[in-house]
Amino acid sequence: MTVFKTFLKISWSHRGIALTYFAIFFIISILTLSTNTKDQGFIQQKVEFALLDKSNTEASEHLTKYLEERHIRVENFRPENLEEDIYLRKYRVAVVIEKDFSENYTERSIRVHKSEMDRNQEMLIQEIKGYLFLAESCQKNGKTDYALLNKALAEKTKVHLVGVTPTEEFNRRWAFSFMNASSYTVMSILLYVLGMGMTELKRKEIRFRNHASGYSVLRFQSQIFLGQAVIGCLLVLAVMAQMVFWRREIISDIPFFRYALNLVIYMIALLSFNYLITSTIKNKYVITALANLFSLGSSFLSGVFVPLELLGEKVIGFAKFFPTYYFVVANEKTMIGIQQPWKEHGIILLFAFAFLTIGLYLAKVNLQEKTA
Amino acid sequence: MNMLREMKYTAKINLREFGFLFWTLAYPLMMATFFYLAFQSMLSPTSQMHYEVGISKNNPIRFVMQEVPIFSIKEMEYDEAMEAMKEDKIIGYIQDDGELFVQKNGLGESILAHVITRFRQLEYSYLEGGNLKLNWEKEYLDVRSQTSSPYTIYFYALIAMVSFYGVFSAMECIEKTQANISSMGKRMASSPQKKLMTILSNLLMILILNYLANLALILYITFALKISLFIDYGKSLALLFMGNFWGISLGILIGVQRMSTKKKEALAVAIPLFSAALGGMMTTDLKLFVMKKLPLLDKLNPVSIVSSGFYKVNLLQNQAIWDSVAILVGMSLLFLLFSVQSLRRKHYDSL
Repeated sequence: MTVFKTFLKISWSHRGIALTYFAIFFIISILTLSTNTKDQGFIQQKVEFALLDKSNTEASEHLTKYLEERHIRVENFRPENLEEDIYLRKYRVAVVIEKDFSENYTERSIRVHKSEMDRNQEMLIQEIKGYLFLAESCQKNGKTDYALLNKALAEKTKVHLVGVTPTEEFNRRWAFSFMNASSYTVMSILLYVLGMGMTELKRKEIRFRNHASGYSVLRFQSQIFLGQAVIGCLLVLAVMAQMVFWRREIISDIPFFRYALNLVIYMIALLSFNYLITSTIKNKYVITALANLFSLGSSFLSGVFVPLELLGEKVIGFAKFFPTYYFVVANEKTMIGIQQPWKEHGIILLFAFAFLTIGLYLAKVNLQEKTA
Repeated sequence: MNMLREMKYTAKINLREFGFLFWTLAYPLMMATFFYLAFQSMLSPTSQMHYEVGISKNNPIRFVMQEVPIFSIKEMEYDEAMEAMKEDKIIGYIQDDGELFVQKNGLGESILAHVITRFRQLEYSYLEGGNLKLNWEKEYLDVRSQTSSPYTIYFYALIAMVSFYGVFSAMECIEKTQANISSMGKRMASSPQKKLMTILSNLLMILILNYLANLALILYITFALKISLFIDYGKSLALLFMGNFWGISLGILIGVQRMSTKKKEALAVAIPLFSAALGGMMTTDLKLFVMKKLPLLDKLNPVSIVSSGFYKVNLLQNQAIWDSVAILVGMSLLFLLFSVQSLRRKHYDSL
């Protein structure tokens, strides 16, 4: 097993880049955990907002308290940064209650900063407008009757959630996003590490040594393939172990093994793609370039970083030429649980077969050219 | 003249090298195209929200719902509504008694619940003797909208990241001058040519080439993809230059380290990539997370400094960028200082 061991050793020497990709994935996974919820019934969407009260009246304090109870107020609001904070979505809306705001509810006495590009802000804007309208309707003799306003605000519509609970929905979504994000990491690491390993084994001097050794081509190739498969399996294990590490408590509630199966099938396509690349390209710079280009490109165009529903029809049409698209669709079907993703598995395996066939053909052509 | 000749050779060598052409020119253009295809629909203001809502036949709230522009109402029975909800044809169903049925916790569902609740609250206020002389046209809010898409940050982060790509060439350039590492270094050490002049002219050419490649990317984004990212070209180009300077300084620093070329290459790839990820090139949530939880890291992250500088001067008309630029310059000078210390007055007993 000398070739197998050497291949693993060479691949291990590229652990720096592999760890960088994994670190990025690790951090992205932390981010997705932050919106966890334990609610079982309908919960109104909460909007992050910043507020500055220049009026400091009973009316402004009542409004502030009302908004704080229903949405998420961001602390340490610095008005000079509000444009940047809204652009970066640190909060969705900045509310500035002006000095002239009082129980007269003067027109335009509340300044609201928002982004035209953001739909979530609409919830809070509607809420503020509705509150002011209601507060004005609760006036008696020109003064707001806060007892009446509080009683009116306590009136609620009963909302029945007939679908899945927010907790179930969150867990499902989290697992789906996690698995999609893993595709970028697995693809980058496999293409880069295995690509680098293969180019080193194809160096002229090593090739001469191989020809002189008693190893047959079949034995040599099968040990390399075994090495690649081991690295692929280790990666799948690392991804799935990370899932368990983050959300041990939900593993029994999500189709964990089906997700693992999706990833294994996707990995087979990636190994075949890697074979295609390394059998035709010897230059390590080209391989690094392709690893970056394919991993980032297919991730952006196939629904890994941007949800499929936000991509245009033409982009989705183009994405269908990448196995990553079918991996994302398979994960989506696994999440919804109504249909099994057999069709997607089949297509991914067809991709794998096509890559392998083209790779073998090109390798044969290269060999013939060299012999001639 | 010698310097110009050196620069000419550096340009020829780099322009004939696949790695240089790909990473500094082709790769950024391809990435910009991918970003454009992925975020196309999110770069201009979103279309008006619109939701279909099911309602029972004699529901008193029907007349109110008809006045809310974001909702279209459809009369239906309970069973029909449940089926329609499963198929995502309607977002919710309002019963005669005002109770609401929804399939999930979405934005549309939340606004719908809010509208019905507000109707009930106004009804309560009216029944309890509240003020009915309301001006329905009154504008309570002074709304100020920002039209810049948050997705432009991906493009800014990309430009910032590729401005550091001089790191590879600078690292190679320094390696080539070291007699204990490369044969070119041996020749250089034994020749009467001054090493400083050779290094300076090489680095200057690398800086020019990388900067020109960055300009090509900006022209491509502006004219081919038709995304308007830059308004204040003066400050933006100055920031871009600082990014290039930082990348080359880092390349020199990596180049002088006593480690294998493989490790140096790994560092040259990993540092810009990791900085770009933290600077929001893969998801803006990551940048926001770093800004909130690790603000010092964000302040020291070079990609973040350059990309934040870009959106501040071009989109937000906020000119407070020079503190961050000073950090970038300070880091670059520090890298150069360390590098010069380990490069100067080197003698070899044997080569």
